[in-house]
Amino acid sequence: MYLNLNDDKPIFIQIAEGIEDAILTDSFPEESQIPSITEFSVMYKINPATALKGINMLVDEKIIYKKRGVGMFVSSGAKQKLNIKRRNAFFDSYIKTMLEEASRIGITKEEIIKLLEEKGEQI
Amino acid sequence: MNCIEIKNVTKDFKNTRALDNINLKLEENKIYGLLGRNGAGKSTLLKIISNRIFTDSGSITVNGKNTCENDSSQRKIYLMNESNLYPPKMKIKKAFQVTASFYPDFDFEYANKLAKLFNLNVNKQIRSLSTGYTSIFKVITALSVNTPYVFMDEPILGLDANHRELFYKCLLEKYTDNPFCCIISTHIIEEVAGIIENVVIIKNGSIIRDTSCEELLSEGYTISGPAALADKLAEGKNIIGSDSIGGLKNIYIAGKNDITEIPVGIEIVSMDLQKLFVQLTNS
Amino acid sequence: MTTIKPLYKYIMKNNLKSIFIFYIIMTAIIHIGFFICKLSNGSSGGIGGMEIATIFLLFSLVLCSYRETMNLSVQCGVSRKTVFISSLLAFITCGIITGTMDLLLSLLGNFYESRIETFTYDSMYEQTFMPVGVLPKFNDFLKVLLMCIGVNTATLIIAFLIGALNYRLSKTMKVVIPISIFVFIFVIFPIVDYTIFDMEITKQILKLLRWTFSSVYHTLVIAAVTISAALAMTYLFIRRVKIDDKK
Repeated sequence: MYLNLNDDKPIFIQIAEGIEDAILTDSFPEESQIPSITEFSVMYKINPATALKGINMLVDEKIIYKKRGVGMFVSSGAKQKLNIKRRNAFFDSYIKTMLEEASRIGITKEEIIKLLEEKGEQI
Repeated sequence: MNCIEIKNVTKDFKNTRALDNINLKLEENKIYGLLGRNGAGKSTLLKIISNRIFTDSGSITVNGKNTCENDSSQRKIYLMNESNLYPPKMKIKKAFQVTASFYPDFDFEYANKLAKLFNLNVNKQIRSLSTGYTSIFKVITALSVNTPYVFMDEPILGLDANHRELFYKCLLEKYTDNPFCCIISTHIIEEVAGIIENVVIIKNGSIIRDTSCEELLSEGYTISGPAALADKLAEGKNIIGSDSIGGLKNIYIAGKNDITEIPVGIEIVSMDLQKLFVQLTNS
Repeated sequence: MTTIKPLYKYIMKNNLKSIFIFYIIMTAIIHIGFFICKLSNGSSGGIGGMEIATIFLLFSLVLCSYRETMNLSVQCGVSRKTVFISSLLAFITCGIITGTMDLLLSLLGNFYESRIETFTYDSMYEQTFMPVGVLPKFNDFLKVLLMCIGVNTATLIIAFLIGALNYRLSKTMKVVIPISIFVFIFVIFPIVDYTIFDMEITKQILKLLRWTFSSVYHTLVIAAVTISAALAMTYLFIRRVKIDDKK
């Protein structure tokens, strides 16, 4: 799980999103154990309370569950839950910004669609 | 409630007021960042708490008991700062042993483990250490005493990048295994910004901020863009600083970001801790 | 006050090392002196006033270690009060130990003195309170013990006072004060005494000295008074001192 922490969002949100990304790409498969709070805080040089806050957010959303005395695990169905969540947020997180930038530099909707059709497959 | 309470502490040195009516509560099991410019009063405050110098007025208590000239209170506190108070000819091993005789919870094994990690030869005399290794020795001692409150005044003075990373790693590992109250006073803000939970900022002897790191960062943002637009948007807000280059201006605002409509050409950026600190403490 | 014990142990350990070596050397000196006299035909020799060496030892022990002990104590969370009490207890202990050792040296020396004609040994006590040539008896040795303990403890505490004063002084004051004291004792005081008091003060001081050394019990009284006064002043110097390693 690679994270480049920046100042755009609170760190605990970035941690949560980093874990979500790892779950979506199967780096943390369902029912597998994720690193401990200590490992997160040491790895990213953050206060354990911050790491805990991010993880608790995911626990509240039922993406992660805690097994007492053992550790923290990815819930079954987490991937699907995240898929739905990310889909719902897709427009606001990405399309909106793209449209704003396009309007800034004068790219029309038609040009965007053309770009998508020509270059979209390359990814 | 277990905490260190600093009440109405004032300290004058000849013609300057180093600390002006300081009131502060340091709760147990938290990592604090004590930030302030050179001469702001951080080191003075730490020295008063650990009984090295005396306050002119006010009091400091730890878990309810006064700290001044009180052995049982001081037993709960450990300060490492730029002073070298161990006998220069003493060997590091011996220094650990002597410290352990005064702090019964001193973890000898842990100290030796850290010494190995940092490549510190415990058979050397303290006076033969370089600046960096003197800091390493002091930091290892501070991490091994196991007092509920540990104060570190510039712990990374002279440490190379590798040792600084190692220090943060060891500190966080220790903190998660056995939580304690650690107060770090440093100028290298970007490096500690992630690991501290609470921030206390001292400016000219007074405390200007005492909140959680998260809250402090949510109370600052930058309006960035063409000068005229930026100025208009910043009207009526609490401006704590600005800089400009060409026709572009960055305006630093203290307060929550409640801007709903961002005009084209303007960017709202959050401020990192160091930037916020610089803007808050510029005279 | 659980810090009194560790600090007391620390101070004692440091002092005992030097004291041990010192007495080994002193014992060797007495043995060597005796055997030299024994082996050389007819020529006589003697040893006297070895206790002065003990006084020098104790004085330098405390003066040299004061700063380090003070700094280390405060770094380890010990209050200045506790430093004062632990040091005092350590000094009393060292006074008793060195006093006893001085007595043993004195016994050894006098034993050798009684063996041959050509070797004489005079402890400080004998030099001060006893007529020449007379060998001390049991009673006298008891007084030797008391005197040595008293004088040694007083030495330690006076050194403590000087250490405490020295710790507080800035670099300039460290030069100014000794010079001022010197000038006062050897220049100002004699002039004032001569012109205003007609040497009365000097006469009284000499009278006091004569009284002090007329009987060992007088010496002990003066030692006790000196110790009390020195302790009081030392406490005043220590109680609010700033701790710094930059002096």
